[in-house]
Amino acid sequence: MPRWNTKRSTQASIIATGGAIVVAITTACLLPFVPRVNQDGPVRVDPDWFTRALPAMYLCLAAGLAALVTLLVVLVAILHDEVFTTANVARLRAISWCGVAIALVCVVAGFATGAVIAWLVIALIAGFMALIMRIVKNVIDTARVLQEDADYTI
Amino acid sequence: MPITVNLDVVMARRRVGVGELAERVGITPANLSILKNDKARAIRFSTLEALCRELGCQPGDLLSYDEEETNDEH
Repeated sequence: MPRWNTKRSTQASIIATGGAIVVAITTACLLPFVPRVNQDGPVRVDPDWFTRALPAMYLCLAAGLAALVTLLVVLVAILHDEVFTTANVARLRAISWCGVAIALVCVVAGFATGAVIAWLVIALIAGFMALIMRIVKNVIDTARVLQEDADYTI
Repeated sequence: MPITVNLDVVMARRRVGVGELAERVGITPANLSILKNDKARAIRFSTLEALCRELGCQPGDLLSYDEEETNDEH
């Protein structure tokens, strides 16, 4: 049986991120049909509320999809041993801003469409994710400077 | 950076090439070029020692401090 290592872990992350992208795209395609499907289902969705919330959901999906694709690019770069680079720092910063965008959209949608608590919980999760990404970005940026110093120490 | 590496000047005076000096010092020609072109961030004492030994000079001959450049950075 092949041993678990960093490369395999990165490959697993790439597969998981790819899966999440597929789920996001599928969700985007199926969202308009949710009220119709759930009309007689166990979880009933108010079609009027859903129609009002749909633009916010699509905005969140677009930002989430952008973050996932950027994350996929970062993971592929890591797989090719390009970890501490300015490009990766920029990508992580972009992912962080996607999280901030989702959080803001959720806050606005919460007050605009009702169901404030549910939207605020999502906003909190997205904001927390943005904060973690920002910290990771700062760590990678510091490591990049240290690596450059090491590379240019003769 | 206010510290300037004057390796190119010393090498020209001693009439020694990058390849030959790199081999004598025990570093790659690429790394010696980084040092010669003043692109290095830091230099190890062991490298400085080897350069001084092979070029017959003092560390002060290879490095200089320019106060004006420090002021320019601020």
